[in-house]
Amino acid sequence: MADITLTATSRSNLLSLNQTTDLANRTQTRLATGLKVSSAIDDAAAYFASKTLSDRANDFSARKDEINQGISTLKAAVNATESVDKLLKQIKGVAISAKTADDAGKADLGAQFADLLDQVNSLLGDASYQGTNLVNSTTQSLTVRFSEVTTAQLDVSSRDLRAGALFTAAANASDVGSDIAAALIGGSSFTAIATSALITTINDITSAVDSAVSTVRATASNLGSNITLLQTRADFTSNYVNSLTEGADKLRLADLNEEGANLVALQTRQQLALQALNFAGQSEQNVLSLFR
Amino acid sequence: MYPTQRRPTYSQIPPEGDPRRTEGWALTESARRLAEAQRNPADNAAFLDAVRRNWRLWTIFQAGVMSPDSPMPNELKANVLSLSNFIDRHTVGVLADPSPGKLDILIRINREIAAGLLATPATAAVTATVSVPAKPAGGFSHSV
Repeated sequence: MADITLTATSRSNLLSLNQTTDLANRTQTRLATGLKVSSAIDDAAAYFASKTLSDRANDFSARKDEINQGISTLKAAVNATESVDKLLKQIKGVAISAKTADDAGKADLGAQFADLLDQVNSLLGDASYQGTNLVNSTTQSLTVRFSEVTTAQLDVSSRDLRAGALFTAAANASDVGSDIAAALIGGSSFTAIATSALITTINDITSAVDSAVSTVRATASNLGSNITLLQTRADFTSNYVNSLTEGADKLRLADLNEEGANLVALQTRQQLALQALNFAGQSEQNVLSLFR
Repeated sequence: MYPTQRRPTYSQIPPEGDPRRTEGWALTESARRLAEAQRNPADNAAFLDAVRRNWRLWTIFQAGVMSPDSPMPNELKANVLSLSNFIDRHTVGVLADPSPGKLDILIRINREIAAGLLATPATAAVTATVSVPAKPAGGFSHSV
């Protein structure tokens, strides 16, 4: 992070401001955190979709919303993969138990096996964010543009982690148990497997589950690295610098870390306190509607 | 949980007509919601809502400050945009990996800027140069 350049005057101003800040913080904490006022928080989606913002604010919001949407979609998908991972472990446990179960037990375990596979599928079906689901088909994709002026963008294609695709892929890859896994996915049960072949078949099934687990984990790590990429590529500075010719040097210097942000906030507070200016010109209505 | 009859006046939506006070109020209100989200991180939807709302508020400011007819001096613009840039990047970080501690800096920035906006320039000049905070009244005009 770049250091913040402060003049001697700024420093001494900040020092004296610091002493008033403790007091200010106490007051503001009471004001800002005191009593709960609004019982329900309004639906965020409603105002994000609102068209009342100025064109300029809309341009900024569009890009930020896209990044927000990208992160949320990826996170929904990652959360789903984590749950699928857990379900697959249970599925493997059920298959192993079937090795030593009697006929009634095998029927019961077969039903559990099918239930868990159903859960995998319905869980994946719920993993969408605002209509984009990256884990239950291969037909969707997520695109996040980092800038309106460049072509820089992130594309993520969806993958199919539903039981059918997962086990077919796993079975083909390891060339074991595809028929059996398919039969079980189709709702068959362990009782249909000949006793003589039971152990081998179940071993095939568990190794197919193991392959499925590694597929799911690879997907999770890929989605996770896309989230990281979004974080690091989300650079808003170029916008500001282009639009603010004077003072742009200062802006470039101030690639703030938390400490720097604190100092600039204090300085800005002082500047604002000395001049009767406000930020948003005619947008008072927009500001108010944000918290209605 | 909280008695609604003790609802304080400052948190009610202020009347239109004083943009400076409105913006100060909005920053304080956003900080309050962030602080509330920080205390209840389990309510993930409310947590993210508070963060996104704060982001949107700063986007409105950012657009206003970058508008060609903004009367702000460049130094102040640069400061506001630097803060806005920090908030942009920090907010993306919070959305990607929510944790209550990360809201501290957002809350602090809002409170500082709100304090500047809610100060009336005449009294604030005194507050900013006097090194001993003698008067708690300071430059705050919440109770208007």
